[in-house]
Amino acid sequence: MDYIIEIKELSKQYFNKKALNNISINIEKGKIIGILGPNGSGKTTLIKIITGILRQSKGEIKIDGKTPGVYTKSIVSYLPDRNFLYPWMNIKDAIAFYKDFYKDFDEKKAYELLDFMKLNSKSKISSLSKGMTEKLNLALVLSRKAKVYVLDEPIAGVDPVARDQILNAIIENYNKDSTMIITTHLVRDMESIFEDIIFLKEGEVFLARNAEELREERKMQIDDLYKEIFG
Amino acid sequence: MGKYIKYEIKGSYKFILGIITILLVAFSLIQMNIYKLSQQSNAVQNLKVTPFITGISGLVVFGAFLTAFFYIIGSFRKELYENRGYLTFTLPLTGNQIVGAKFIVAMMWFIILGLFVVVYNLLLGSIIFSNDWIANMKDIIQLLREILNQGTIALGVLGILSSIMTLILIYFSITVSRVSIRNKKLGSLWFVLFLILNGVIAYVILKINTIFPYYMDINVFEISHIDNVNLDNVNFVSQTVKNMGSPILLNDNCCNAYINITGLITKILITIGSFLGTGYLIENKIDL
Repeated sequence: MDYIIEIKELSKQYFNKKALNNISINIEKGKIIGILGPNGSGKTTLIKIITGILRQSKGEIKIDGKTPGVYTKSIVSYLPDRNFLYPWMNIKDAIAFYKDFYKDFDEKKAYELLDFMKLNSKSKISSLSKGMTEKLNLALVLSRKAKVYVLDEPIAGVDPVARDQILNAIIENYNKDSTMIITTHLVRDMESIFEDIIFLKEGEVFLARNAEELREERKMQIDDLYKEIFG
Repeated sequence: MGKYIKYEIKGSYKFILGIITILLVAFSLIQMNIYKLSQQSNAVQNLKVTPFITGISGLVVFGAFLTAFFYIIGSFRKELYENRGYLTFTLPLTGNQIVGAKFIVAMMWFIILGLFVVVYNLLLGSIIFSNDWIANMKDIIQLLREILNQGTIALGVLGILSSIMTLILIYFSITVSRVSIRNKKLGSLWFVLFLILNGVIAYVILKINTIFPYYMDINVFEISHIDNVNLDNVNFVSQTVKNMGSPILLNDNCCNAYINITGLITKILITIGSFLGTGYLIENKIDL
C-alpha cells in the first residue's frame, strides 16, 4: 500500500504525563481521516508532531518518506485550532503571504473561497470574529494543492451557519490526490465526510478502521460509537 | 529568506515610523530651543542650559534605541510564546533563515534610526543656524574626516560586533529558555540566562586576550605579540590595561589602534555559534 504518513511506536511525554503512548499508524494517500477523541486524548499532540512543531519523545514518523522538517512543511497544509495569522495583516496580506511561501498556493481559488465564505479581503485580521477567522484560515489552508491537509478542530466554536459553510468548503475543495486528517470532537457534524476513523484514548490508538465498515459492523453511527467508547 | 524579511519589515515598519516621528518632533523642539538660546545675549545662562539640552538629546536617542530594542526582542519572543508561532514555524524555512531574517531586519532598523538621528540633526541644524548649506556640509565632512581615524573606526567595529553579539545572545537565551521551560510565566528567565552567558563570555574573552596577547596593528594589518607592539605612545588607559587582556590598545591621538586578534576571533566564533545554535533549536527543538 501507498502510505503518505508512517508512524511507528511514537510516544510523547511531558514530564510525568504521557500524551502519546507507543502509537503506530499508517495513513494512506487520498483519504479523509478523522482522528477522534475527547480533550486530552492526544489528538492535537499527534497533529503537532505531524506538522513539525512538536518533537516526539520516542518513535519514528515519516511524511512522504521524510522526517518532519522543511520539506514536509512544504507539502503539509495545516489549520491550527487557533488564530495563527499575524495580527498586523489584513486578509489580502495573508493571501499574499501564503502565495509567497507556498508554491502550491492557488491565489484564484483563495479569492473564490473568500467570496464563498462572504469575507472582505480588506478586513483586518484582528477585527474578525471567531467564525470569520476560522473561515479565513480554512480558505487559506484549502487554497493550497498540498499532499497532506491537517485540520485541527475546524468547526469548534463557530455558529451553525459558519459550520455548514466550512463543511461545504472542505467537501467541495478536497483534492482526491491528497490526504486530509481532521480532528474533532463534534463527531455528528463531521462523520459523513470521514473515510477512515482513528479513535484516540488516553494517548493510545483505541480503534482504527474504515468508517463505513465500522457503521455496518457495529450497526450504529460513528457519533454513537464515540459516545459508547468515551461515554 | 528574502520573503520572510519582507514580511518582517511589513510587520514592524509602523512601529519604527512611530519612533522616527517622535524623534523628529523631539529634535525639532530641541534644535529650536538651542536656536532661541543662541539668539539671547545672556552667555552665562546659555552655558548653564547647554549641558541640559545635550543631556536631553542623549536621553531621547537612548530612549528611542531602547524602545526599538525591546520591540525587536519582544517580536522574537512572541514567535516562541504566542499563536503567531504556528504560522512562522510551519513555513518551509530553516531555523537559520528565520533567525537570520529577524536579525537582518533588526540591524536594518537600528541603522535607519541611527542614520535618521545624524542626518536629520545635521540638516535641521544647517537650516536653522545658517543659510550657507554647502559651507556647512563641507565643515561637517571635514569634522567627520577628523573624527574618523583608525582608533575610532576600530572602536566602532568592536562596538558594532559587540552589539551584534548581544542581540544574537538575546535570541539564543530566549530560545534556550523556551526549549527548556514551557511555562510562559517563567519565560523571563531568558534575561537571567542572558546575564550569565554574557558574564561567562566576557570572562572567557578576557582570559583568551591575556593568554594570547596577539594584537593586530590596523594601520598595516600586521599581527604581533604584545611584547613587540610599540607602546611608546600608547595612551595612558591602554598602558594601564595592556596586561589585563584589553581587546584594544590606542595611542594618544587615537590614530593608531591595536586589536587583540584572538579575542576578536573568539567573539566572532561565539556570535556565529550562538546564531547557528538558535537556528538549530528553532528548527529541531521548539515544542509549540
